[in-house]
Amino acid sequence: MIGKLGVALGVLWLLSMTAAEAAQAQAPGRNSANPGATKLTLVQALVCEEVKDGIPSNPAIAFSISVGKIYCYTLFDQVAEDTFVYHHWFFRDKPSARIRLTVKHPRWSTFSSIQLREADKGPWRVEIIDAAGRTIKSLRFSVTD
Amino acid sequence: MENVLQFISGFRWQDVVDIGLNSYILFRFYVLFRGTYVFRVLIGLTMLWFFQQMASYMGLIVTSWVVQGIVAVAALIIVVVFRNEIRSVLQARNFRTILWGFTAKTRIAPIEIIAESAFELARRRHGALIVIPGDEDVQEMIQSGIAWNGDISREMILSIFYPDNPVHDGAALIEGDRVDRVGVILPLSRREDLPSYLGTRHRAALGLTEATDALVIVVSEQRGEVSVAKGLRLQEVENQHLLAERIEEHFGIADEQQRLPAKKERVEVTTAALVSLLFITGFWFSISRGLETLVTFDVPIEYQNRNPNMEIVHASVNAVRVNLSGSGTLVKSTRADQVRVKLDLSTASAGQNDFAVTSANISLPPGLVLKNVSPQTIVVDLDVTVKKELPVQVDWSGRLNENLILAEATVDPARVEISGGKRILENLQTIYTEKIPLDRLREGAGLLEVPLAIQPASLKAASGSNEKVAVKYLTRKRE
Repeated sequence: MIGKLGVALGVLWLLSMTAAEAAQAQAPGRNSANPGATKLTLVQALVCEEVKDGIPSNPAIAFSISVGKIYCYTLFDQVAEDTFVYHHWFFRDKPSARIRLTVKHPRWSTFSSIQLREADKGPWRVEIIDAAGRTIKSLRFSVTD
Repeated sequence: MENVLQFISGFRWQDVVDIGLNSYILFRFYVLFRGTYVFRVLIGLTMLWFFQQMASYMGLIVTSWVVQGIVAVAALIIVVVFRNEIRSVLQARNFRTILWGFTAKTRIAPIEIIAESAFELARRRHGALIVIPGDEDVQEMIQSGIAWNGDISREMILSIFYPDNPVHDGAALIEGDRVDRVGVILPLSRREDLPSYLGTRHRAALGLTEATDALVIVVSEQRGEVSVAKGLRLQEVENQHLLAERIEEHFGIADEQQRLPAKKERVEVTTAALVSLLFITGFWFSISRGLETLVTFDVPIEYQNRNPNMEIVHASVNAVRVNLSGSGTLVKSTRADQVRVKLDLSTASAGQNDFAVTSANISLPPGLVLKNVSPQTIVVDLDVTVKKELPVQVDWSGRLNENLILAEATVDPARVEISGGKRILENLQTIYTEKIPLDRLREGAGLLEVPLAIQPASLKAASGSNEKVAVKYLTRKRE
């Protein structure tokens, strides 16, 4: 079961990488420093206990393990064209999850989440990375008792 | 035969030097201090020590303790009481004398003056007794006397024994080149085989020489003769030249111009040299060739010649176990810090380096032999030292009040510069603080000062960087 899931995730990751490269290839010259990057503005980024009807609730920087699930919410504006971003979750500097999220023109909010386990207590960070691989924002928080 | 060959093959040139050097030191001690009280007391102490060893061996507990105590205190007394004698030996004599010279036992009295004065006294028929001590102390054998302390001269000797002088009946005691005391009373000989014509003066001379190694010159008042008493013998001396020869013989001077040890003294010195050699050889064998004993030490590794631009990230072990063998005495007296294991890092490069631990890396006290070392290979991981600026993240722990939410926190400084191994820092993205318990946070804003938890230990804050940060936080009520 885990093996199949791993293969599926691997395929997804490969596809997303291919899509990212394709996106970079389709939008040349927009930003000379970051070729392939679609113009977008990050309006809001936070980690919260819940996202209900597209609205984050109880944003914080420390979460009890008893919450069960936490979310990384991001709101983009001035999105020039449809693109995507990554929410890259790190636990103690070690990659934990890399989630590809679509961002649509002209304003878009999106979120990713992780399920918390007992072993997840400690310092975390989520890096929001654009299609060109540029880190737009880092959110740091802790999972505690 | 095989044992003998094995014994000889195990004998190093250092051992020969060791025995020879210490034998010579002991021998020189004898030469420098012979005839003094120091040497006699040392002999006494050695006998006490031997007695204590015997008492200990025989299981005489109290006797052993008492003698041990006496020996311990006596060693201190020697240094304090005989400091002048020790100082005079070490200071008054030159370097050559201390190392290999042979001096006469005492300062030499002006022999010619004494001989000439004796015959002048005989010619004048003035009775006289002149005592010239040998190695032994005569103070216990003589009585009364008046301190004189005058340089020897013909006139002085003649005046001492001048018949009207109140002290002329006693003996004059010569010490070195001075007349030490006059009017000294000597013990009388109790021998019955002495000729009847010998008077009290001659009996007194023999009384002292029978008990000590002193030489006494007797000038007969009645017959105007000069005699010399030495040991049990009393001999008349014909002339001044023969008297001088007898005195020189007494001092152990074979030739007037050359102060070489006399034949008797040469025998004594040779015997002392042989005894020193035998004693040290026996002592050496008892220490270094005793019953073989094994001992194990855990010795921390010392790294040397490390490139200052590199640092040790990790070593497979911090200490090695060293198995040694040697005589029981040596093993018992060996401390762990006398065994050292050194690794030369001058040839090491960044990354993992394997070093074999051999006898060349281990320094041991003399006499001990390396039997085994474990592990025999040490892996040392080295890395180039670099600096890197990293963001600081607060490591919250515990459980916050259920009605509160930790909404914000800022760290000052937000980034710190860390110094350490390049490979470690390459993979390091964040520096965390020590854990901050959430339990103690209350509603509202607050400020905490927290130390950084810089891991691994090989990393450290670069100079100028704080190892503590200020954390401003804000909690608010849960909606």
